[in-house]
Amino acid sequence: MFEGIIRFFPFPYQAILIQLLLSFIIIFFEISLSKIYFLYEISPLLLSIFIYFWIIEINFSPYWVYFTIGLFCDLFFSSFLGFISFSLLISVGLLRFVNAPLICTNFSRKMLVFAIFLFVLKSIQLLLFFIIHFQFPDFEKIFFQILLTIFLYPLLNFFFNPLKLFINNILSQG
Amino acid sequence: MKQQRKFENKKILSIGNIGQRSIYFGLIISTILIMLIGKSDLAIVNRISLLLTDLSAPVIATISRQTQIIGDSFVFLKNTTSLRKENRSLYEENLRLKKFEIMYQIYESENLVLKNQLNLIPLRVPNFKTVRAISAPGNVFAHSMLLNAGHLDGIEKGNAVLFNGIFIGQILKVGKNSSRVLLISDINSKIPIVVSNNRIPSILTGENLVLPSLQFLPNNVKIDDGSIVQTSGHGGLLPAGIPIGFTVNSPTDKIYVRPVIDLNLIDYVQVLLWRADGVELSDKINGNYFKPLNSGDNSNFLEGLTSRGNRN
Repeated sequence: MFEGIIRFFPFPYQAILIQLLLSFIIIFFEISLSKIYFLYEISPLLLSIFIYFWIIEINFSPYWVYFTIGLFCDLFFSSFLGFISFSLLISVGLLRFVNAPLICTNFSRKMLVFAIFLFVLKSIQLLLFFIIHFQFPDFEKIFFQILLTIFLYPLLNFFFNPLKLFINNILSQG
Repeated sequence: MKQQRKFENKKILSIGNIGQRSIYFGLIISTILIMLIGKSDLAIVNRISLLLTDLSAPVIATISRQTQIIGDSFVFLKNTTSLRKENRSLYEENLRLKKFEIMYQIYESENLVLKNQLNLIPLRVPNFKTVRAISAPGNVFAHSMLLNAGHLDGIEKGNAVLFNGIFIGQILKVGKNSSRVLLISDINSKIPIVVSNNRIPSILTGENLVLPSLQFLPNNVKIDDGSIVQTSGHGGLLPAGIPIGFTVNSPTDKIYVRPVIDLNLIDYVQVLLWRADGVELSDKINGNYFKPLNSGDNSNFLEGLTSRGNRN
């Protein structure tokens, strides 16, 4: 059955399907992380790490993929729809504009671009929040969340490496 | 021939780029539209959201159970390392509570005598359901929580949610098997309260910060630090007298409320299945309020409730 499903999808769509499925699992995991008391409201942004990893190490997926992931995130995380999908689309668009995979030739550059990506993502979210509520949320927590995510990036990068080899193998077959 | 092919390729590439760009801008415009649609609180958006939450609730519950084990192990480790310190503080607290126990017994007997003299009708204890919180409060931008019980378990929109008898929020959305709680610290939360020491009414407003604050306080009112804040029951959506927290004065004259419990330690909550007498909850939620009559229209001046509580 699995073989049938795989044959039905062309190779690039298989990669997109895997990305979408993994993103949804990561969203669920990120939600459940808030059950750990010291990660209350500051759970690391695992989804952002995953999206960035995919862009840098594999390829840029079509924009509708990021739109779908963002919309799915919105339904679980935020109080209003479009909040995460908008910020994600803008940040991914910026990465594409500067052609991030070409810039990131070594690990320190990858880290730097990732930090900028997170900063842009959170800044857009803060701005949207301010436009809607005329109030800023806790800056301290956002700053700590970004730091924690940057700190976790090398570790998760290491864990995602087999996935990179697997997807690149699929894409090269296509 | 070669040059022509190159030119063709460039043309195709540029068309592709234009297509991608238009898709990108189209998607950005659609997210803005989605934001506007989401803000208008359409039923279809709520239904899709509830359906997705219902479908994913078992998955989140399963993953949450595992992360809870990790969280519990950290709590255990933390408690083990601070055992000596905690033992000392518990000993001191025990001594303090023993003193209060004697006072409590005196006040209880006095209260009973006074109640009998006043012929007081006892308050109905509202029915409640204990429900597991499958995800703890959300992120910095939205303070909400997912419960693994929905309208099949009798939960309704607007029900009060308590943790160990302390008010923590209200049911915001109800699905078949899951529901979402809006916590008191969320920016959209507005709860009518009274400061119990001097019965000053106010509105407890969340600010997406650690502490919610008091708004619409009467002028020239002084509130002591540490006064108890409890629900007032005004508006009929929540029962009166549920404790929330203590007031904290700030240098900016703003009064904050410190919840009695830590919102990050919530695991099981109680949902009060309460409805005020004569108040139709669905009417309140659907916004069928009594509106003022038009000044020119005096033909229907007796519009309102009859003595039996029916609308005429």
